Parts: sequence; structure tokens; C-alpha cells
Amino acid sequence: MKRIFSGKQKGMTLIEILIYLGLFAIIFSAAIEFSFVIGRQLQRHSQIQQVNGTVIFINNQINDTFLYSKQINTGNSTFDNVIGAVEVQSYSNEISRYYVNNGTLFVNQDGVVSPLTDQNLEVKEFTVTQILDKSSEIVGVRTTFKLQFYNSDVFQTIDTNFLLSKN
Amino acid sequence: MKLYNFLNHKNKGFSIIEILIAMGVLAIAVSSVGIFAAVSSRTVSLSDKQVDASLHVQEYLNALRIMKQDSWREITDATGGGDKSIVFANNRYSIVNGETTYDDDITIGMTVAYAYRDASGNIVSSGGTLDLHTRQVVVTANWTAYNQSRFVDSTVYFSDWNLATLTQTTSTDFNSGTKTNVEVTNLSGGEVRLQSYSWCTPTNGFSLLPRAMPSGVTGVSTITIGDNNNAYLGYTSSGTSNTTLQRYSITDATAPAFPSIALATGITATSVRQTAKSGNYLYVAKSSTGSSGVNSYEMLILDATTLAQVGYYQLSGTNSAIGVKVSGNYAYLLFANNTIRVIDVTTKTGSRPEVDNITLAANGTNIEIVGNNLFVGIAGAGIELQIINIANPANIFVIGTADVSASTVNTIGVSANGNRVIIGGPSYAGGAEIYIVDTTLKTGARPTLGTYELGNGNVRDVVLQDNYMILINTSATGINNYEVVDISNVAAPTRCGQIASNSIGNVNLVSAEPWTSPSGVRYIILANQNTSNAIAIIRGPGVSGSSYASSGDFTSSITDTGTTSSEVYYVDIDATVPINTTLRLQYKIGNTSNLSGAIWQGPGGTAATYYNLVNGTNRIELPASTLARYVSYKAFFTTSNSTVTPVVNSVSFVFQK
Repeated sequence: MKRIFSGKQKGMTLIEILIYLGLFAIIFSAAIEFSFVIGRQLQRHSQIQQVNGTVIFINNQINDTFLYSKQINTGNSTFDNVIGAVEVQSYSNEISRYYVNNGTLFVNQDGVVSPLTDQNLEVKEFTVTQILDKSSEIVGVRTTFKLQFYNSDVFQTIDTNFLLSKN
Repeated sequence: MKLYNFLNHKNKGFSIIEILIAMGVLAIAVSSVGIFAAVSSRTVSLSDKQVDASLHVQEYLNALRIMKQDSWREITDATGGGDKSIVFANNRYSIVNGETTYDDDITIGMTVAYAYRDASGNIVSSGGTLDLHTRQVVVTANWTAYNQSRFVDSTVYFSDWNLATLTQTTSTDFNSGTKTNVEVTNLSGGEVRLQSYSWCTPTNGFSLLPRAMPSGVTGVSTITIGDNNNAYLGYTSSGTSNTTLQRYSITDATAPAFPSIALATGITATSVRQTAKSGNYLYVAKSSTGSSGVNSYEMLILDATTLAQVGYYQLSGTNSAIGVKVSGNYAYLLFANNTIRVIDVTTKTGSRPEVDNITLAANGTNIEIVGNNLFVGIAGAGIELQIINIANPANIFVIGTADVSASTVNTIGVSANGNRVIIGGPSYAGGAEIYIVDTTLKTGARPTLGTYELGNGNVRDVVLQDNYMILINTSATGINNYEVVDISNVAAPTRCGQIASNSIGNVNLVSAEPWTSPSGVRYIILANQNTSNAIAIIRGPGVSGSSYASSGDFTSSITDTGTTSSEVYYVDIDATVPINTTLRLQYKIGNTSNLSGAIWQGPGGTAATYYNLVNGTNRIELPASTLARYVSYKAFFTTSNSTVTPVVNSVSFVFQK
């Protein structure tokens, strides 16, 4: 039994250990680096999805409001300005006003104010332009909407339009 | 022992090869994670673009909805023309050729094509019948990502299956039409009715008649309207053999006609200056040029029916009578040498005797009689008017005067009740030409109530009607020959209508008389200094206020329905059609913008028929498949009672684009 612990049993040489350590270091750092890349990518994807999700949400929200609206109150709207606003009046005379304040899009529905964009998103542009028919009546608005993630290069700019229900 | 050997001899560290194998396995595992990450990154990136592209397509679809409603023609014009884009400029969407690439590298475009339907009305991709009212629109957004082209598309069908209405109802709408004896008013939002006449719109009712002066005369001097509805025109003449009196009978349908003429057989002597009609006799004041016979008479009495001379007045010498008025059994003659002579005409025949005379302050211009008062304009004296009491014709005397600021006097006019006298002077740089004098009281110095500046004209005659004074002025280029001045506020007379001599040819009015027709329409009949148009007429209001033309028509401006596939179903007319009036309509349709070649048509599609309209709303149903882009209508108005008119309030074409 004594020979088991003394006799011919050998350890790794120093050189072998150094090679192993070196390879491990390379592999490990590559793996760490890779995981960072993946992590950043995932974070960016989540930002893009949040931006796109918000854009679609806002688009649907404003669209729904316009579907039940009969008129645009031009006096309370701000047209052709990057910090625009638009106020519409429904058939039941409910007033909805969309406007931007400190980079957040809000809706004021009969005095109840709700933010439509998350705190980590910044509305860089909300330009509202009137759409007129032949007789120069307002039939809807065209909006340019630019939404950017705070401290990120992730943004989305969309041009879309909203029509009053009479159309 | 075996265990010992195993531990002792075979139990070694990993070899390099083993390590490399292990690393290889690890690399495969890690790279699959990497591939997964890359794929997920790509998916997110694609979905990002997809959102973008979808929103662009949505904007197109919304824009097409606006166009469908607002300018269907833009969509039809884009049919089959290859790729198109919708651009937004100046607050409006419009269609342009080619595709558009956005900042986000998405290219978007659309094609518009005809749609076809099967027998049950379903849209089919092949075969079927062409449906002119529907278009297929394919909107495509495409972009390139990871070296592959990607796209989002949407196919939609747009149809104009909604009735559209084009209405003419405002005065602006109607004023774009063509009016013949009709007028556009704005009494209840815009309407068309027969032309109405008032004193203030003389040009509406003006007509110049082709009535020639007798040959050889030098000019027309006077017109008198008799109670037998005859108009007597007197002429000036330098010779003694020219006919200087004409009689026309005036008849009234709704515009007076002058159908017959009789030349006064005895009046071939010198100039007629004024005539007066009383009973069945016409009294003629004329110039005197001889020592005996008709040429030497200053006044003739003619049988008004035969125009034969029955009596006369002769003053010794060659004085000329320039004015005559008859009151009761006495004729009052104004002479050029500042006298008025009263002639007893109780008996009409033979030589008539003078019963009294009076010498005026200076030359008289003309005389007017109201009741027991005779008014005479005075030229070239310190006063401009004398009022003479003629209660006793054998003893007439001056009771009142007026001194106005005119330099001299051309003529005077007196209101029907005798309470106002208009004094008209010649063009006067130092003040007004027209003075309104209060003669409510007849005695003493009468005060001036108001004045009116005539411009450059030289007033020849004055007629007072209602609250208006109508001034007949000598013509000069650019001068108003006929002015209507509202004197309801005598302190500030205001002109409300005029005819300029240079706006209507052959106009040089010299004398005017009012006439009310048997049907109650009021006119001013005018003597006109023109050899071929000796009479002019101006139609005024009716005795009850309204006075409308007897007939007229209105042709609308041409309405553009926007597309040649428009099917016109109805013409809706809101009309007022009182009793004694008619209102009829025809329409015209076609595909040329001026409707050339199209005919006005009524029921049955012929030009000989008309749609008769009733009071209230009317709907004319057009024949099936009336396809046309341009439409127009013509309304025909008549009335047999000049106090009422039919009215067109609105006309709508109801059609499907």
C-alpha cells in the first residue's frame, strides 16, 4: 500500500500547467467577451422592441381616438412644429389632446392626463400637419413621430396619418 | 493488484490532444450560442424595418381613403400607369409617378388597376366584367436587408360607390351662370328670379326704340303722355313745311310697345316746344314765325284723335310760346319774353281769347301746375322760382318765390302734392346744380332743403317719382344722361342709379314723362335726340312695389362631376312657383368641358320638351345610364302678373362617380 502514495506516481510539469492556464485564460476571456456582446445585443434588442412596441401602441391609440372623432380643434393644436400637439373632439364631445412635454407624449382626455411613452424613451419629434380636402376642410392630420431610447442610439422615426371618422 | 497497476501506471494528467478535443467541443457549443444570438439579432432588426414599412403602407391606405372621398379622379387617372407614389405637400396628398425611397431606405410604391367582377358582383382576378367604379390598389414597401430584398404589401379595392351631390345654391354659384332677364339675389342664401325693376336700376329696364324722327326736323323737343295712353313727341324745325308732331299709342304687355304712329297733319309749321293733353284735345305751344296763318299762331288746339287743328291762340308779333299747361278751362302759356298768358279754352274752336297775363321777374324756363298754384322757373334774375296763384284765372298774381344759389335755371320739377320743387341749373362751378325747395307753404320766400351736385351735366328735365328725383341731363361724353337721386333725406340727396351717355349708344335724352301702364307697371318715357331712336323707355317699379320681367332664362355654369364614368341620377330643384307663373327646366350633359355639341333636353331627350317645376322640391329622374362628366341646366321663367316671379333656390345634380 505504501507504494501507492510514493513509488511511481507523477504530477504535471510546470510547463504543462502554464500551457493549461494560458489556454484557459484565452478561452475564458473569449467566453466573457462573447457573453458581453450577447448581453449588449440582447439589451439593444429589448430597446428596439420597446421603441417599436411603443410606436405601434401610440399609433393605435391615436388612431382609435380619431375613429370616434368628428373634428380637430385647431385652436388648441400646434401644427408644423417639432413639439406639436393635436386636439380632437369626439361625437360625444369628449376632448382628447395629444402633446409632448419634456420628451414624453401625454394624452389629456377630458382633464385626465396620462403619459403614453415610458420614462426611458424620449420623444424627439411630434410634428402634426393638417390634411386638407379640396374645400380646405381638415380631414385629418399627418404626424412625424421620432422616438429615441435615452442614452442609446436606438430610435424610430415614422410618418403616419390619422383621419377623422367622417372619412 | 490490478487496481494498484491502474493507479500506479495508467493514472496520468490530460494530454495536449485531450485538451484540444475538449476545447473543440467547447467551441462548437459556444459557436451555436453565437449563431443563435446572430439569428435573434437579425430577427429583431427585420421586425424593426417591418414595423417601419407597415406604417408607411398604412399611411398610403389612409391617404387613398381621403382621395377616394375627395378626388376620386386622382385615383382613376393613376389607373394602369405603372408605379405611383403618394406625396404630401401643402397639407394635401397627391399621386405622382414612380416610387419613393424614404430616409430609412424603404422604397414604397403602388399600382392602380381596373377591377373585374363576376355575375354575382364578386371581384375576380381573371375574366369577369370591367367595373368602372372600382380600382385595385397594390401598395408595396420593399427594402434590402442582409443582402436579401424584403417587402410588405397590401392589396385593397377602392370604389366610389357613394352618391355625390353637386349643388348650386349661393349667389356666387348662380352668378357664374348666364342671365337673360333674370337676376341673382341674396335674400335667403342666394336665388335666381325674374329681373325686377326699380327706379334705382334704370339700366335693367332701359330700351331704346327704333322710332325715326320725321324727315327734315332739327331735333326732338318735348314728350307728353296723354290720359289716352298716347305719347306725343314734338320736334324743332328750321323750316315751315316739316311735320313737327308725332303721336304714338303706348300699349302695355309688360314692356310698353309703340305700335302705331300718326303724324299731325296740321303741324307742319315751325317748332313745337311743348304740348299738353286735356280731355280729347292736345294743346301745342309753338314758335311763331309769320304774321298770319298757322305759322303765326303761338298755341294750337288739336283734336287728340284726328290731330286736326280746331282752335288757336295768336299774339300779335312773332313771340314764341315755350310752355303750355292746361287747368280746367284755361290754358297757361309761357312765352319766351318773360310773360305768362291765360287763354280761355272753354270753347275749343277758332281763335281763343286771353283773359289775363303776368310779367315774370325774368325769362321763365317752364311751368308746372298743381292745384291752384302755378310754378315757374326763372332764369337770370335774383330769384329762381315764382309761385303764382291761379285760383281766379282772370286775376293771377305772384304769391311766393325761392332764391337758391344757382347761377341761373334750366328747368324745374314739382312733386305731385306741390310741396317740393326741384330747381335745376346749368353746370355751375360755384355750387350745386340741383336745389330742393320746400313749397309746403306757397307764400313768401321759400327755403332750400337740400342740394345735389350734378358733375358736368346740364340738366334738361326733372321728374319726381316717390322719393326719387330723376334728372335728364344733356349728353356729353362720360356724363350721366339719366340720374336717379334718392331724396328721402332731402338734406343729403344720394344718387342710386344712372345711365351714362357713353355706356349706351345713341342716347341723348332731352325730355321725360312718367307713365303707368294699365297693368300697373310704371315707366319713364323719354324723348331722345336721335334721328332713328327718338324714344327711349325705362321701366320702374310696379304700383304695388314689385315689378318683374314677363319672361327670362338662366343658364347655369357647367358643373364638373370629376370623371366620365359619373352616372347622373337626378336633378333636384328647390323652387318657388307662385300662381300665374311658370318655371321649366332643361339639362345638358356631355364629356367636353364646354358641353359643345350637347343639346338642351327635356323629357324624352329632345330639345322641344321641358320639365315643368312645381312649388317646393322637385326631383327630375334622368334616363338610366346617363354617363357624363359635365352637366348644366337651364331654367325658364315666366309670369303673367308682374308683381310675382318664380324663384330657383337651389339645383343639385345627384350622381355616382
